[in-house]
Amino acid sequence: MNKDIETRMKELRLTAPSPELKSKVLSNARSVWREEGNGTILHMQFRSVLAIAASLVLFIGIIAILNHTEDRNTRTAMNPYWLKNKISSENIKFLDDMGLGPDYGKVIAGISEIKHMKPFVDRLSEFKL
Amino acid sequence: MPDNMEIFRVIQKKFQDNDPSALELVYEHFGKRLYGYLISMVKSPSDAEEILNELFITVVRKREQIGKAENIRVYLFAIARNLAYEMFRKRTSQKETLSGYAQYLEISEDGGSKWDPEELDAVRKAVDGLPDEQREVVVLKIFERMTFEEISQLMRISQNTVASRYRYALEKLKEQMKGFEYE
Repeated sequence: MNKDIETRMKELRLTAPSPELKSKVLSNARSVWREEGNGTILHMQFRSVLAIAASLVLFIGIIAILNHTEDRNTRTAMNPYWLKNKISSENIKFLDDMGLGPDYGKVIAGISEIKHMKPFVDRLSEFKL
Repeated sequence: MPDNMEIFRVIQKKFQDNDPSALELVYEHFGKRLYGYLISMVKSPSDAEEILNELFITVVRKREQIGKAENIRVYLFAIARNLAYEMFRKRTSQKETLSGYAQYLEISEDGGSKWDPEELDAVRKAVDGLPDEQREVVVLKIFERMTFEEISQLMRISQNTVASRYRYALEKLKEQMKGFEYE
């Protein structure tokens, strides 16, 4: 029953747009497409520049860190206290190698700090002990 | 329908290839239909033109999604629908509209039987008198030749709801057209 009215209505159509509308709509859409395309190219170029800049910053950062570390090592090596401790520990190692053990080293190192024992320590030094 | 599917595929391929000639094809295939759907909603030729223009700009911006869309026809009509609703929200005053009658309905070139002006007028009045949600289903089903499934995807309602809205609409139209021997 409903089919008749349905079929009848299918003989109708919705009104069409004016023929001029097509060129207007397409021209606007195309210009947006072009702008978007240019935008995409600019965006891609910007991304490349950004990537290069980021790599450069990273490279400079690594160099700066290495430089800083090297500088700190040099400063530590040049520090007189560090040098003194290093020599002292080398002496202890030497005494250890001589079979005089770490306790002996400690004793000698302790004695060397006492002012009036200095001649005794100097005497030991003569024997390279 | 297979022809349409082939055209849909060609259009989508062009969008995927970032080829602007896709726009021409979209207009050729969907331009009139989208305009007809829009004018049935907004009932103003100038508003329908404005929305169609906006729609094609949206198409350019969403070309990647359109290239991958499951059903390009539903996708385009959904954009049209959203833009029309956006216009309703923004519209503060009633502009020149085709009020009173659904004057956007015309006799198609291949309209088989003769239509006397009185009958055409009566159909226009009857369609115009339908509630918005029923009129939209009628327009999409009868004039845009969409399936219930496509309409349900577009309107985001179940197919059963679409079918019942369509049935109620036809009953109302039949009731309104009593004097013209519709059974």
